[in-house]
Amino acid sequence: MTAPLIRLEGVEKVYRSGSIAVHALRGIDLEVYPGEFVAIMGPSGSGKSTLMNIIGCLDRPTAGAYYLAGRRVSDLTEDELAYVRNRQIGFVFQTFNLLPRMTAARNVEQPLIYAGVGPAERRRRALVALERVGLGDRAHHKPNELSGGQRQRVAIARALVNEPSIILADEPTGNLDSRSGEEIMALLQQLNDEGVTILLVTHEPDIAAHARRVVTVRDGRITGDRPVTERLLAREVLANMAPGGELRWEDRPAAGGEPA
Amino acid sequence: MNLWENLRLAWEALMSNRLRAALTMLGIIIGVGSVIAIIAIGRGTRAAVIGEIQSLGGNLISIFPMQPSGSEGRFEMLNEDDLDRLPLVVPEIREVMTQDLLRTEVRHGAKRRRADLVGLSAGYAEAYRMTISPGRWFTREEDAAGARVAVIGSKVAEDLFGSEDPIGKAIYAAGYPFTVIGVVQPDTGLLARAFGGFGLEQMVMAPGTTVRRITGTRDIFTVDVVVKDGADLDQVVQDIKAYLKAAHPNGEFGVLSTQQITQALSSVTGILTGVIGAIAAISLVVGGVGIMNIMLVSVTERTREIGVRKAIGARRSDILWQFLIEAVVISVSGGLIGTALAQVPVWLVGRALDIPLSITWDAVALAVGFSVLVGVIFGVYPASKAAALDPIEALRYE
Repeated sequence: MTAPLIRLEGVEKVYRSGSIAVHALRGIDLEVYPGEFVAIMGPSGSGKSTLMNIIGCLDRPTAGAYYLAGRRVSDLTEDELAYVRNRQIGFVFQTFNLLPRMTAARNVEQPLIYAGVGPAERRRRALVALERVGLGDRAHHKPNELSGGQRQRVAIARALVNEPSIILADEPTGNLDSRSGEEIMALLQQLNDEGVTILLVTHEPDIAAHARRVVTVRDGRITGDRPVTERLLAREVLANMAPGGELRWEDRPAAGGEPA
Repeated sequence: MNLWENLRLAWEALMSNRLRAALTMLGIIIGVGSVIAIIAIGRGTRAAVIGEIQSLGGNLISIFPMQPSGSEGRFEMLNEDDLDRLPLVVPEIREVMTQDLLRTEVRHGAKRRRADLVGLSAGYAEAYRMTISPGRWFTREEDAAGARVAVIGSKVAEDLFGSEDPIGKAIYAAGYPFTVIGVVQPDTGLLARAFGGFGLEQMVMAPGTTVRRITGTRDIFTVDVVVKDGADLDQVVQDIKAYLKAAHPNGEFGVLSTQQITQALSSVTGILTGVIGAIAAISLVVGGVGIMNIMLVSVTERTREIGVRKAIGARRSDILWQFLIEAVVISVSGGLIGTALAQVPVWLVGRALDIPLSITWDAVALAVGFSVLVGVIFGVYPASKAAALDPIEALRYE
């Protein structure tokens, strides 16, 4: 059996505000293997966001150990964590978080700048990534010229461009109508089929059902970890969804819009 | 750090909010523009003034009486004896020239006006580069003989003669008749215009000997000494002072060489330029505070962007450089625009004074260097604030 990509051992996270200590995570053990598609589910306040931040190397555990691709990352310095985020992790956010002044291609290029890749190679790889998410023809559009679903595709291309070990998607369909959301899930499933490891955080069971494995978090502990038995295939859902000639929701501007 | 990429990001940020960028730059534009303009105008006028003084004769020494310190006695004047002795005592002296002044009335026919009757040596026409037209200046012989000839200022000529040709006509000055032999045109030099003119056009000039005969005195108001070429001016000044001390023990005299006048003038204009420049430089500081203010706003507005950048792998230093370079780009753009705009006042002043003024490269380098400094000083705090943001907090920021 291959080595786990992600291994958490007794990870705890305590936030202190004044004299009050909040135990966000109370001992998490989790292993994720290459090629998996894992959904982390839980209500708000369950600690799933904290878990996501630690796995994403945005935060460090108070206790316990975290190994990413065999390397212990739980006690790296801030700059080392930045390096790991750049090379190993691709983030996809609920609100897309694209840079509004830049074209799709420039947005996708950004992680490569921090990786020290030269301009020509950056552009080439950005266009490949956009092609991969089906937006090859939108490379020179700015975010406000794209629909919500298209924006999230750009964000996925940005997450993919540095060929990370894992994609972390935090409620990626939360700001999309159901059709665009389903299309994003179809893209994630397609990428997973191509071998990309995906960790999805969601509170919607319908979205979690697109993964292959669901981990349930509650009160800072893992309360469930099971494979998905009746997996939803987004491609099939989409086929049943839209009779021909109906309004194309995908073309509507995204709810919420881009952050300023 | 990727300088090119950071410059591009800074440019995009400025272009996305042009009005704000322009207003932010305004302080720097005004600051750098005024400093550059003041330096250029100060240097240019100083060079022009000094050039003009030196063109009057680089080796001229003026001797004039001063109020004796600690006594209430009248000024002790130089007299005609001194004129004879000075070249003997100080052999470096080539020529001694005198200036005497008599406030009086001049008349031609029925027309009269007040004017200064100035007694001068023959050498002055050349030393002061006078323009005499029509007619001529008086000769050394006429001076020595005390001839009753006069060269009148163009304004005096106009008042007394109108359109009539004054040459060869008689005028009365201080009651004595003089034959007009020439007309002096107004001085066109920078000094004359800057300080209201020597007023040559308002004077009636006659040989010094003649004027002293009229006033009945042997005293001389001012003596200008022309020194031989190659002589040590400072030494000659010392020698003259030593002679005066011996010849006039009770007197007090000012002895100034053109060199000293130039130096004094030069240091005065230098100080003036420095002071005005420093006041203008304060607006650079104000401009810098404006940049800091806008950068702080910008960091807050772009908290999300900073969070995203950190999430995709930006280190602290990457964010620091990005915002620092943005601040420097604002201030340097302002500095360059200010330098460009400074051409306008410099050109206007140059044209008004009719002197060549130009913005020198060292002034431009100074201005650009200063604006980089302002950008760095006032950009560091906002940039380090941005760099220190926690990525999780920043991503959550609404």
